[in-house]
Amino acid sequence: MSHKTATTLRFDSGPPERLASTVREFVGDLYGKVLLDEDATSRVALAAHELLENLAKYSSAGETSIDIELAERAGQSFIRIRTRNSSTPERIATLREVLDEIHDAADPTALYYDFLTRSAKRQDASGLGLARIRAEAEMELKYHVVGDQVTIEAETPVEAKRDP
Amino acid sequence: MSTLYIAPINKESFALAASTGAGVLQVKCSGNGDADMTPYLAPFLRLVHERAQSEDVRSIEFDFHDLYFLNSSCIKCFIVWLDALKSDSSKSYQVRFVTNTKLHWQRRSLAALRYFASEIVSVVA
Repeated sequence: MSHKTATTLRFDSGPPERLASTVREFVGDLYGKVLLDEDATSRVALAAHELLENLAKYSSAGETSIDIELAERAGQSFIRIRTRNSSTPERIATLREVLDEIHDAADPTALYYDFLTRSAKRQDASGLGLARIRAEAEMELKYHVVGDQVTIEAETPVEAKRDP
Repeated sequence: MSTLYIAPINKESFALAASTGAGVLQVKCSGNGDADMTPYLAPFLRLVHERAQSEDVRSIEFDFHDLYFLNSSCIKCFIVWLDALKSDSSKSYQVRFVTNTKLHWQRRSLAALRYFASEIVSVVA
């Protein structure tokens, strides 16, 4: 039997950006104890950091949350990070565009490198976070939009330690 | 030739410090490269370039041994900086990142920087 974990953080508005490092360190400490592979722990911690910063930057008013879960499906353990927040129509349109492009990419790393080139010319935010999660954290990304509510899920298979 | 002084930056969660010797400008980055570091990083990198030019440096070495993370905004700072270096014909130095193999994110993130500017960037453990 593997250890199952679930952590939820809720905020009554967008979380402060500086909490991202705190959450990343917590995720690294926690999953360092339950996952077999240090690299997998590092990938999940990276994704948690980037997703929390996204919540901080792009949430409109209202509750936001981040859930991090180790679960099992058909005998395969996996980590899923889910963020929920409300956002503006403009931001949601941009998010759809970016996540659809990431989803459709045959080679996530090649796409991320393309994002790096685009980022060099951007004057605003980096625009790298989600593509980085897909390429560097090797996590599949999905999203759902209902009204102004946005849910983003990042998921990766992992090997969890077993009880003796 | 006068030396351009780069004041070290020491904050609660991160530090940036530059020093020179034997044609190498070493930049020690430590702590968390997150939202707190982002406003400081781009101007710091510009000063590093100016000092490298003023001292005829052959190599800039970023020591990431104690750098626990770089967020995507900090990565963008390096990308913008490297992009400017790529198109600067007066630049005469290489950029080297020294990594900590125990910090697994560094392998992937620095591979991306090396890909972006392969003609000037190398990564060593």
